[in-house]
Amino acid sequence: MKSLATALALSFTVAGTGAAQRPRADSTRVPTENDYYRMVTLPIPEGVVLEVGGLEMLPDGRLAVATRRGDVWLVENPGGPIGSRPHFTRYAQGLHEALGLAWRDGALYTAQRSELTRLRDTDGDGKADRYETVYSWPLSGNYHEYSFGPVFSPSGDMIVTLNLAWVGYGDSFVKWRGWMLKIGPDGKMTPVAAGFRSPSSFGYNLEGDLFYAENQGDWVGSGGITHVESGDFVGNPMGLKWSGEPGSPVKLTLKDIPDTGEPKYEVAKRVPHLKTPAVWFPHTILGTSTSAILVDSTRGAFGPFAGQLFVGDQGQSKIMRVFLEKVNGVYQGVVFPFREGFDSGVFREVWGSDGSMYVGQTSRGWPSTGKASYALQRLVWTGVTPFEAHRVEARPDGFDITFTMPVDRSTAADPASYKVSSFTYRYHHFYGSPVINQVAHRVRAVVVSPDGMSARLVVDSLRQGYIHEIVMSGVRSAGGVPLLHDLGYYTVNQIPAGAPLAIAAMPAAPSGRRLGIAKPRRVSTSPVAAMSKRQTDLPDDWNDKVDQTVSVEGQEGLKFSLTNFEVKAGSRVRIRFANVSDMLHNFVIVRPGSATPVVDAALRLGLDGMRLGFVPQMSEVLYHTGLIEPGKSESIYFEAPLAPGEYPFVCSFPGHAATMRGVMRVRR
Amino acid sequence: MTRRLFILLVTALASTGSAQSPSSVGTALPQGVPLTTLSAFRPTSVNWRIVGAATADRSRPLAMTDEPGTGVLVNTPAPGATGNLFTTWEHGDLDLSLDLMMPRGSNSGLYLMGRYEVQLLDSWGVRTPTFADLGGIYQRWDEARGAGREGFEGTPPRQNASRAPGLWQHLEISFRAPTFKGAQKVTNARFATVTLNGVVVQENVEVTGPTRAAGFTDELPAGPLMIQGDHGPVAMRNIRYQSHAGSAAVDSARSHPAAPAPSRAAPGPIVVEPRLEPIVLRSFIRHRGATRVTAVSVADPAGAHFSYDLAQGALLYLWRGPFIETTQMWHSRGDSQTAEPLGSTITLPGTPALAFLADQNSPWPDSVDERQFRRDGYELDPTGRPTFLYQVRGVAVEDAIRSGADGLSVRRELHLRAPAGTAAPEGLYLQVAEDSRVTQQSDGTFVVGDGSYYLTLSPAGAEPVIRRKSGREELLLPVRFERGEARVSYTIVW
Repeated sequence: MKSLATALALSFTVAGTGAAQRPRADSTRVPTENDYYRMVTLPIPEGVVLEVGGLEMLPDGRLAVATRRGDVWLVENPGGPIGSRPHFTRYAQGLHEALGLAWRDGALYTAQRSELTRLRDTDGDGKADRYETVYSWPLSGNYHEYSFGPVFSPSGDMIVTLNLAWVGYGDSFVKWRGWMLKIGPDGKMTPVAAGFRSPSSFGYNLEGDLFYAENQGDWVGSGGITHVESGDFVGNPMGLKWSGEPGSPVKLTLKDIPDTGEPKYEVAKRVPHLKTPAVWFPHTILGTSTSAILVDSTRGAFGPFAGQLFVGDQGQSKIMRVFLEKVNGVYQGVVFPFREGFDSGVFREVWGSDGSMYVGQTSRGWPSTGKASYALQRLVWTGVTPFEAHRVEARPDGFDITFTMPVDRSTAADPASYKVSSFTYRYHHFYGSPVINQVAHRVRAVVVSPDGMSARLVVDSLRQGYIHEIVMSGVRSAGGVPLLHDLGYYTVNQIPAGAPLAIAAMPAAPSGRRLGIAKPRRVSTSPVAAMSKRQTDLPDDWNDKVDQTVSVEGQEGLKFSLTNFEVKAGSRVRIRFANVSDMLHNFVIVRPGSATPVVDAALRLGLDGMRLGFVPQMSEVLYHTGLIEPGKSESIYFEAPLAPGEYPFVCSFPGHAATMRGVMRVRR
Repeated sequence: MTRRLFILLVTALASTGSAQSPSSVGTALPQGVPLTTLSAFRPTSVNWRIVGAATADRSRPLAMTDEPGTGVLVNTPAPGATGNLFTTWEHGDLDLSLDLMMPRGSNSGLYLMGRYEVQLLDSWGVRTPTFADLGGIYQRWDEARGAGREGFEGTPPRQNASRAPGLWQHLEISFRAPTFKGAQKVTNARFATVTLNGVVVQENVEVTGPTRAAGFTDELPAGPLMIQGDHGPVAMRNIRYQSHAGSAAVDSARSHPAAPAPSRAAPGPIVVEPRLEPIVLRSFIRHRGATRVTAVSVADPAGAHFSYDLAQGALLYLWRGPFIETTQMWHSRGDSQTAEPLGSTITLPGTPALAFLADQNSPWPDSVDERQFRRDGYELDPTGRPTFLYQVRGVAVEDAIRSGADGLSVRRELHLRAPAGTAAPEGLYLQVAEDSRVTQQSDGTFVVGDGSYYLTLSPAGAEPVIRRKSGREELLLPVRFERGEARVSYTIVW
């Protein structure tokens, strides 16, 4: 087997019996994610609107699917061979937006908006005839008061989380909104932790510790996963209204939480029990709305990542991979890209009995990169191991990167093959955050292990509390293949003690070098391109005369309020752009035919995106606003182009332009 | 009387869902037809009279009795007295609203301008209405078309929104007269909307000429309103209108400035309908100006649907016909999370069905005491129909609400069990009805509201309590336990 693998030009390592499908040995082709993790789309019967809210695998191999329209479907033969169809039977109906599903002792449990419900089939006809309220909680009636879960704890309790309402900002109008609750089999409820904003997903790692996924928003600079323990306050203060209630393990109150815009890690030094993420996911790069959390418990059936977490993303239709370690008793770790290209918004993940992963998806109201409004897909490991960074571990003076297969020693040992920088986000009531305090770290040395499986990076001064971007674009496998994903983001909550690696005759390290940013700025005022493209004051030489004012709203559901408008060539135009949605948007007018290149360039801005308001510096961009927060607005002024034609406008924030686009017609 | 009528009207308006014509919601039309004498009408035959009240036995064909007084217009045709009734005034464009009562099997009609008919009929129980049912635009008729082909045009109502004979029903018509240039007709007469018991049953329906049996065969810019008198008995009251008689009536639809074209199409409605099995659907529901966040609506293929608040053990609405629209819950994020009944709803108080009262005069609570209430969900019977389960002060309650087989009624049965080993609970009552009035008829049936629906108690021997307070009446049934159990039930017919 080894010789066969070596013979392949791309040097794939083939696992299993050899029956697994292998990519073709084509030396000219760059391997893709699909060569290792194949996507299989399950056919959904006509008329079944399978907007997945919950997924569970039953002991008999049937897949249970809860939907946002309130049905629970049982799918027989979900992973059958090609040509055999899955069979859908409706088990329950009429639930109010069921956003979770768990099986225990012959019953299915789901969270509806106002309660935790147990569904049972007592007469054996395959359909639930008991819809039992296990525990109920109040609602104010706001659409954003989603209820998620349950997940069974190792001790048999049910964990649920309750979203904040959205009224231009997140708020908690009724008890336990913004909280995680634990409900015993007897229906007794115990509050666990506070500070949640939109905690759609949570799950346990193999050690039995609980992690939850949060989405960027107010008080949340970027998405990430956080280790939750009883008494924690995880960040959004609105739920603290209820910390004085009997049974609350959280004692903080609203006034204990400073709104200074400092990094969350810094604030947490002063605010006891404020928990920072174990792993931050940089917004727009590794997702926009973290969703499912699934620990790899397949013992290798799903590939070489046993024990790691697969974290979904709804907005970007993809799944990330997380390696966690505990340093000084605190969880931290690294997140990598894993698999993208799902049909709709990834929301739920569950293991099939064969170690493949079922991925339930929905994008209704929350548009995703995958354009289908819902989907059910299966991710199957092909048996071929990709060349990946398997994990990154912190060291006193750097990182230890372990790969999935031996590396090419020369590229892996070359410091120039790596780039490391660190940054963080603001902790404040504003929606999201720019990337702040970004610093480049010099990679002083790299030592490759004797077996070629790992590389020890000696890096200038790790920064505690910061996210460290590690780019490994120069590294090749022993067979000459580049990494399938060449970057990861390691959150350093703790720097391990111990001796630094002895390195002979390294030049003295200059202190961290600032990248680009003279001083951090608020999102909405980030200076971008030349003022002529973003003129926010009435130009003096216009003598207070505007020929035409166009008002545009950025609306919920990723829409502009209008899809076209007309201006006269050369006329003086004011665009008043108001963001009435709950996400960040900009308004960018580009040259005819150049919407796609501008949107693509905005996506590639990476960490610089927030600083630049996701407006790439290129000549195709004609006029634009800044990145506008929810509830804010901005006017820009420009003289319309002299050449008549159709000038596209878009929101260039990653993932938005598919629906947020239109045309400015310039007429003679 | 007038005040009570007003309350009924307001209640009827407030109770309707999105199906109601938006143009007429909540705005009383400015002019009333005085029903103290027949002075608003041209002289006619003696079948037309002003009375104080009218009642019709829903089981006896064409039966209607009345009491002396004023406020109600009745037609009781008799041999030699079958004249139609014409208003003294004439109208062009007209907005009209009135209450009407159809005796069992009776037939009448409202002819706008004396020419264009909205059919009035006892259509209770008709599954698939035609142009000849209540709310239909009746056919035209032309002998010259040849035998068997005389009838033409005519538009059925979108749904049968009828109530039972003898109940007061509410009809609103927004009518546009034909327009002329000289003697030449330019546009046809048109019913902008016809709204029956709160639901739009006709919208933008043109009529090319006078209906069969019209008062006139020609077409003119103005004419009197005509009520058909020669077919069967009918009662009307609270007739109000806004006319644009004789003026160069401006068609509101045609004269509206062009609305800006929406940049995106509105979503097509998402509608849920039962097929062979019932549907039990959770949602928010708007009820009397508030949002019920723990509502469940049940569609029964037999025909009668209802909404219920699980957190209160309270009935909210009853209706027949199309079930429910979920667009506001299932389109995009579903901003309001509401489902909206598509039929003509009977609005019920929405207060808890059961309550412990300190004494017989204690006020009925608006909501349950949450410390003493626990909702347990529901179980489905083998046909898929739910029984709601909850506990109040330890008493286990099974609340079963079922459509009658004909879809014309709903029966509610509560089965209560006291906690084991305790004395029979004292002071527990079932609130059967609460409305402006609760009146018992000679056959034992109650009429709730000012003719809103019928209600019967079972067993017939139950001894209800009627309480009157601040202009409202309430029907309570004391719950009596025997060997730790109690059963109480009642049936609503509408």
